[in-house]
Amino acid sequence: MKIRKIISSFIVTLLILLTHTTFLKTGKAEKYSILTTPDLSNHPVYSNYKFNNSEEVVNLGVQPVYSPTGLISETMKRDAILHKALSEQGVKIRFYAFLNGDDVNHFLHRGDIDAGIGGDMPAITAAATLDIVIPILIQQGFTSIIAKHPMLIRELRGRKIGYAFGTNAHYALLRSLSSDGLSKEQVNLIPMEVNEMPEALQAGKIAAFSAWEPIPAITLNKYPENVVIHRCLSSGYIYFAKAYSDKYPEIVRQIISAEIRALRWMQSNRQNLIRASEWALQAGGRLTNQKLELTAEQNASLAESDILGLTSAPIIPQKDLRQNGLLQMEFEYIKTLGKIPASTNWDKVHDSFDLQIIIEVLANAKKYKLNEFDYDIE
Amino acid sequence: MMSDKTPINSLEDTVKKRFPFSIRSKMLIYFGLMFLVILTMFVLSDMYGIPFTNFRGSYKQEQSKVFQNLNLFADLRKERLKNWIGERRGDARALSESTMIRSNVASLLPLVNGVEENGFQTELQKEAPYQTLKQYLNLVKRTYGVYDKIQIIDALNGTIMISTQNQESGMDISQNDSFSKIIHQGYNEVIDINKDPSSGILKLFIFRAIYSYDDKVSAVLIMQINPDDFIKPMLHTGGGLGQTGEVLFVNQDVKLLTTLKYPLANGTAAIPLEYQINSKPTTLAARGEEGIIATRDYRGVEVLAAYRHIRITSELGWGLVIKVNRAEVFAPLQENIFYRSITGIICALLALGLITVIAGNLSQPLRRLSKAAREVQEGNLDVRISENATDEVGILASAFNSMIHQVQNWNKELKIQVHARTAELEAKNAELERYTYTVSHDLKSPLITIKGFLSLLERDAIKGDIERVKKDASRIHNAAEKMNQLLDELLELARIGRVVGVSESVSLKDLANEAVNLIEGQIKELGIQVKISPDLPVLYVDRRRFVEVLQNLIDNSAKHMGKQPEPRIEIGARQDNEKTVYYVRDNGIGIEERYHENVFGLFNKLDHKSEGTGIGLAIVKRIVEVHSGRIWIESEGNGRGSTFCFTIPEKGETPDHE
Repeated sequence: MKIRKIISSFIVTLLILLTHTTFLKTGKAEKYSILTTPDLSNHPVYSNYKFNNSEEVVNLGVQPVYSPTGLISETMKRDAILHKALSEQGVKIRFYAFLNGDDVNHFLHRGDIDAGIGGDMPAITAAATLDIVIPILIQQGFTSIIAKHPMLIRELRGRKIGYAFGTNAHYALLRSLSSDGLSKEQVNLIPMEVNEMPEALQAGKIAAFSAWEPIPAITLNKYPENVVIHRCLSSGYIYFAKAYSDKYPEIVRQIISAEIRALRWMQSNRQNLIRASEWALQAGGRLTNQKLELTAEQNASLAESDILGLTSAPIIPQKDLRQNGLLQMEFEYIKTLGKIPASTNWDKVHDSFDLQIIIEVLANAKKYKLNEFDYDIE
Repeated sequence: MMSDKTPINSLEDTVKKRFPFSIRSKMLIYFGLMFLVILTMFVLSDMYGIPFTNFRGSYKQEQSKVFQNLNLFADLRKERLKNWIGERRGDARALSESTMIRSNVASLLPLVNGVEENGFQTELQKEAPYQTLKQYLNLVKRTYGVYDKIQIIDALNGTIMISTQNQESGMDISQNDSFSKIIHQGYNEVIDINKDPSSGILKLFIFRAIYSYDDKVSAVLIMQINPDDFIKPMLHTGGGLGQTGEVLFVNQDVKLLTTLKYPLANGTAAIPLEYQINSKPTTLAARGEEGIIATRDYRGVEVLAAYRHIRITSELGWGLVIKVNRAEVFAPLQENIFYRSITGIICALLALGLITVIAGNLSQPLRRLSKAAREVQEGNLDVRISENATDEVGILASAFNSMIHQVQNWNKELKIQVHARTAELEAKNAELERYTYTVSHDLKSPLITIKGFLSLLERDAIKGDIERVKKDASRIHNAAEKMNQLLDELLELARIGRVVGVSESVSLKDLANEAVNLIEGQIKELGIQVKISPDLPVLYVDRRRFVEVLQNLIDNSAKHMGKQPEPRIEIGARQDNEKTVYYVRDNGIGIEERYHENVFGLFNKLDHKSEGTGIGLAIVKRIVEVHSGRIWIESEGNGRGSTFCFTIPEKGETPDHE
């Protein structure tokens, strides 16, 4: 009888554990689309922003904690040629730092900013739900899944994984899971801010997390025993509100030229790259209110290879936009998340990409001063 | 229908049905299972870690090492290739941006216009910018030793102006996609691995725009490298990945860029740029993912593969897969598991042996106890078991022995009691027989008398002899009276056996006085002196019945005084073996010892001439016994007087014969 009781207790305990695990697995983050993004007006950082919506100011949402995008946008911020070109048209440019692309979309949707920088998932989301123009690539880098030990992706089954909802890393995570036969229902996704992830992993609150650079590099720098178990190439873009782009095409071109210039300036001299890296780390520190534990040299090395890919020309690859290409696959996947309406047509997203603008800028290198550099390095 | 099995047998059957093994077998099974479960859990947790903790186990740790090695190998190959490509891109950039190239191209371009294709070989060779550029490009080619061919193309019409390879100047490559991207889409650099149109050999091409001084693309620099000479050795696994290690290098369309180590499933060799490897890691690597995966390769063999993506430009990326057969890479782990399993089995066998011995030792006392219990069950109450053990088993053995000892005592006592009860029943039976006989005999006597005198009465009535009739009627009446008396007394005797009055504490002296008073006339008539001891104790009896006892005993003594000149009756008590013995003593005719028991029998009269029915002493005996007492006679024989002794338990005292 006692043996039976022990076996019964064991089975009951097992059932409780299984039920608990099942509950954890199904305890998903609430789905929401850009149209129902929570109000960020009380955000500790964003609530201090004073947006100037006059026509004399172009507001650009950037992400300093997003490598190498952060380096590029911080260089653009100090581009005297850009400021001069815009002032000649009676316009000033203001940069607003955001933690992720989803937040950029939120303020773009509100009309507080005219343009923003976001990864492919936020860009597709914005293209599907808002009227935007995407003329240039700003980012081609890896988002990584970091864990405490080397493991196969399939070993994440049933484990807690930190992620930032609606970001590149979110989609990259889901792509990575599916690459080894796992669905999002088979893991326990824990939504969190990217800068919280390294400590959460260290504290054992999560088994892994998915984030874009430089968060993985910071984590590996601080906790060298951690490892990258999967990486996924993702893109980032500068995109403009269509109404703004249509009304101020020259300003759009000046901003694009500033990005190309920034890329060429950083590539021309490693010191420039390190300086841009310092600017990005400072901006990231101000945004997150914590020192990013990465040296400027490390951050520069991290960005170097990604920038190298863009130096030929940050043109959005045609093949990414083709039918059943990477971007359409991602678009279809985002629809399944409920982040964009299921009725949205791919053509709307496809037509948001305008590849002619950058070709026009590249063809007029002299006009747009693509090979002249004048940065406020103080 | 009642079962003929004893409760012990039935219990044993039930136990056997539920647990059809001996306690030793059960201990062996339970402890064995317990040990095996613990051992299995220990081995499994040691190998695979403990869920929900940070303890990962040796298998996982070893697996991590394997993954780390594979990752390290893949990362090194990727970095090496990336750096090498970076250097080549740097070469192209340095060349395209060099003043020497830009100024000579600027000088040469106006001379190219209008020259026919074959004119490049003849006319341009004479021009100084051409010669300078050609010499410079040859110098670069020789110095670096990497490039197969370096060319400069006219941006305007796609004509090869200068080539390190003779006979190529003047050729038109305006339809080349990479050239077109630079001219029409604004790229300043395009890299690709493709077939060289002139030789058909796979080549790495680096196209780089050469800008004029007004920032226009004036020409395109093309640098060609044979990947087999540089990339293939760079990706070579050597012995680092074991015998089955292989590196796969694919473009974005998952088409092979180097040759394969093994033939395809159909036995043919894969042709680079034609064969598409649709295995999972190559597909993942080509589309921009990096990681490690356990899967099957192009041969269908299970492999462990680290896959990497090498991003070259925004449009170009290559996939790199480092794979090794799973069987080879996990062989040390499998060996580890094998030896651990063998060790586990040996431990389990040793433990089972040990458990068998322990179970035998632990169960031995219980088996002895079981055997002893069975002997007891079969009737052997002399069996005892050793009480040497100082533990619970020793206590159990002691309790068992004590219990059996107790059972043995109870058995003896029971036998004695059964014997006593049997004797008593036999005596009662005899008494009942005697009683029946006596009753029938003694009741018959008055009836015979009545019957005889009824005949005389009839005869005397016929004769008319009134006097005789009266005498006859008187005799009949007397006989009937006697019969009535006999029946009353018998009824009284029977009632004594059935009905007992309420007991109370009463002084024997009071009882004696009351009894003497009831037969005072008779005592006085016979001149008997009655002495009642002054310090008689208190009895706890039915008062009325005990007055009757004393009355009958005094009456009996009075009737059997014989010719005693000084008849005397003494009522008293004495201590005999710490018991109080009450007595009625006389100095009458006495009773021979052989009649000491008989006198208490029903209708037993030693002197048939004496008055009374012979029931009195029987009633006395019955009353004393109903009060759990005992009565007997002490007499030294004829003429020596008699003492009727009796005992009565004190209040709360246990009766003598219970």
